[in-house]
Amino acid sequence: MIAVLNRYLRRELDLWSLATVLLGLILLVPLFTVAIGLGDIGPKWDHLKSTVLSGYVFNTLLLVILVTALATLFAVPAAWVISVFEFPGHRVFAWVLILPLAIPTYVSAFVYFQFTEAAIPLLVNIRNVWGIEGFQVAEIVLRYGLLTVLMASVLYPYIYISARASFSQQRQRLIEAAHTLGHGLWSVFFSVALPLARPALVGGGSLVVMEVINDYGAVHFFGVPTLTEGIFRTWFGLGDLSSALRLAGLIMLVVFMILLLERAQRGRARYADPGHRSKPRTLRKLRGLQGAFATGLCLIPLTLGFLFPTGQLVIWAYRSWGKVFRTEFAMHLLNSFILAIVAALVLTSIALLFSYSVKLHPVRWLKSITGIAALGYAAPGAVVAVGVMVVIGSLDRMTASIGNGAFLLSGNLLVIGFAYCVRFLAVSLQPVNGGMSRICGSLDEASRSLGRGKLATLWHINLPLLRGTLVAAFTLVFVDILKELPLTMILRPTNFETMATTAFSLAKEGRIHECAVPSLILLAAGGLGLMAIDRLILTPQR
Amino acid sequence: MSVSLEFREVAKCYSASDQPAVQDINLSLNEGEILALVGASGSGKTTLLRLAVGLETPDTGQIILGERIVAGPAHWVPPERRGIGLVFQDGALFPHLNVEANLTYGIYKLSRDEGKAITERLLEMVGLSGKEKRYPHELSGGERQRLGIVRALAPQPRVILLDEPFGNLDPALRCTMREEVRSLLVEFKTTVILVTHDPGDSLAIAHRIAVLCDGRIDQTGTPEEIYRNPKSEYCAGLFGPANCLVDDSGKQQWVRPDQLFVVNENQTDAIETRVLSFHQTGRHTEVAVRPRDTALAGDQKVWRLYLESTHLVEEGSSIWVTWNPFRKE
Repeated sequence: MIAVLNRYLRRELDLWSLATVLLGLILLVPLFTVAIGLGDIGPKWDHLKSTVLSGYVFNTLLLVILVTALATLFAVPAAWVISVFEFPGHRVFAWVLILPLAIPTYVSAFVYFQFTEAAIPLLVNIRNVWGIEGFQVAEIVLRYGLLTVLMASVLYPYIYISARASFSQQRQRLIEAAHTLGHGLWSVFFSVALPLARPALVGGGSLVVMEVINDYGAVHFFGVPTLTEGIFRTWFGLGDLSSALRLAGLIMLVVFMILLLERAQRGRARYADPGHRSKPRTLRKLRGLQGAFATGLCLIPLTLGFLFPTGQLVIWAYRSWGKVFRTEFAMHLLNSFILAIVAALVLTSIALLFSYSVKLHPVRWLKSITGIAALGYAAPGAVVAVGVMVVIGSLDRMTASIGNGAFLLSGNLLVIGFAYCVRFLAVSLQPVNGGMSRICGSLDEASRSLGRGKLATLWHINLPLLRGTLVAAFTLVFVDILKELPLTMILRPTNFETMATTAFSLAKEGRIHECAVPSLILLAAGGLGLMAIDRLILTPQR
Repeated sequence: MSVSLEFREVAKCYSASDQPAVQDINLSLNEGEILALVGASGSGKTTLLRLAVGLETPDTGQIILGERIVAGPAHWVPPERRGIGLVFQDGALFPHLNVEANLTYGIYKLSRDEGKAITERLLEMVGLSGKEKRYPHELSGGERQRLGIVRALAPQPRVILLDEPFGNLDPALRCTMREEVRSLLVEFKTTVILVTHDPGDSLAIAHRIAVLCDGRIDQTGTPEEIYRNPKSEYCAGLFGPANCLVDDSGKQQWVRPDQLFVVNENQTDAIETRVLSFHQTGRHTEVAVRPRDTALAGDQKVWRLYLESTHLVEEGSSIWVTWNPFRKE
């Protein structure tokens, strides 16, 4: 028995698996703290419950429903016409329709906010006609409406990408069969194409839902307090960390329920037929009015989500760049880049460690640990920040009581780096795992049988073969960190600014033209991220 | 001759299955010996190789390399420190390294000059001189396989294991490669385990054959012994058609078509049978017969015999058959 255990320990537990387990558990601590925090009732909780909590929940739900519905309306018709028809601009649209993903919601919010000001004359007229109640209703409709449009127009690509993949993978023969059974094009769309695409749509839709819940910047700007905004208000306004922690726990519960529902809805029905390779679909040509209609279907979301905000930012940036480019700004830019580069390097290394460790020991428990450690990506940034803050706070109190009373960790850049690791591990782990699984296991075995150890095999075989994947994973994490707002707002040291916080504070101060320059930098980085995704998905592997 | 590699009571069960992959394995290889492991797919051949090289741990038993226990209840030597070479079916050549770098991967501890000398010699032996700078995808199937073999031989391992090395090659190339590989292995005087499901490979290359069935060793012996005197239907069936005949004492015997003769009726110890049906299958004629002596027929009322095609048979006629298991061609 002891011998068996001994041998098991020797084979399964080496430095690689030990480091993986240890790091995985450390990364899980903040989320675990948030989960425990659900049972913790802070001093202001009752006050919160009787006053604003129902509003937070209502706003979150309303926004989730409105944005998801509108994003679906933007995404599905565009994806369908691109998969089935050929019309003016067809090829270009297929790719550029994902561009809004490069724009953070809060950046789009800076641009759309001007409409609330432009609408003031209209609101004054409404007040004159319908009185103060009419004015209030119109103002709320305007704010919620604009927020919905701007969020849906930057988030719809999540649904568009999955819908398009699903539509274009559907077998031509199924569609043809439906046609021969007497169904017209619209009827085929509703009776065959849409039901077959449902899992993909729900998958994309749940990403939109999670992004809406995660958002802090846009809802803050438009004064629509959601649960995430609630965390900020409870913590910084009321000074009640335990109630903020409980709110975070609530959000995490909701998010994980969405994830479970999404998984459950796929059910047992089959939606894809991977055994048969579909012949490429012959696209129907649309001309004249029909062609213009199809072009319009694609142009509307693209304009709202990308062309208009980008154009506006470029104009503002042109007017204000002289004011923005000062030493201070250069410092913020440098801060932002160094932080994102270092954190992305660390995260890519952790992903490599986890992935290689699982390759060395393909046992279920190790796979589970790495999988669970990556769950932080599902949790909104504010939730992760609260979890990290609570953990660091208690660590600091412990060290302070032992040492000289100074807080070592709070307000330290290491803390923010750690929080990024908790939140963005999945972003680096997924591509690295994918790349690793494409390297045939016999290469590792050949290397080992030729006398090279585990580290040498990683260095000489896996690393060179993974180079492209690692660069892409690094880029994705780098971009995500550069854009991250709520987590950075909460955990950054005093006076430490990144591009995201600079843009946000400038916009909040009303220096809306000046926020265009950092916003465009974020947008360019976002474009870089899209290229990385494109490379990961489209580049054929050797 | 000293023992080079030994399996003692080795067993291995994968966690996903309740059936052991291999069990009760007792096998030893002398230095310089070439052993072929033969068996149907799923019989445990590859598991045994992976256990030897250290890519799997045995559940029980010991594996001994020379004087040293490399795997056992209280011993474990990782693959990189065993000094056992492994050749894969797909070659497992590193796609990002050229021919030269692939070849020198295992001899990185040697000086540059020594490495170069070995590389030149090995590449010349397998006809790859002048292709040092090519990448694996720029080589033909045969060249890739040769490179895989010399790469494993370069560090001069005590034992080299070949896992279906000719599996990916077309039949014509397979025959030439068998010859080349055998002379290469003999020249290196390395102990070899060759895993194959092709009986031709084992008969052409091996000094000794071990037949694996359901994770156990069914029979070991020289190619001649295994072919002429298989102990079980499974062993017999692996190397082509065989006739299952029952002798006077009721013992079953497997007799190859070339050992079975149709003779005149007056010959002693010939058995009279009546031909029920027959059909030609390439070099052999498959004949269904019923022995006249029903006592001989046993439970099987009909015998299915494989005869060499030179024998002429007719439906409904009687033929007298006799066999001589030890007749040599």
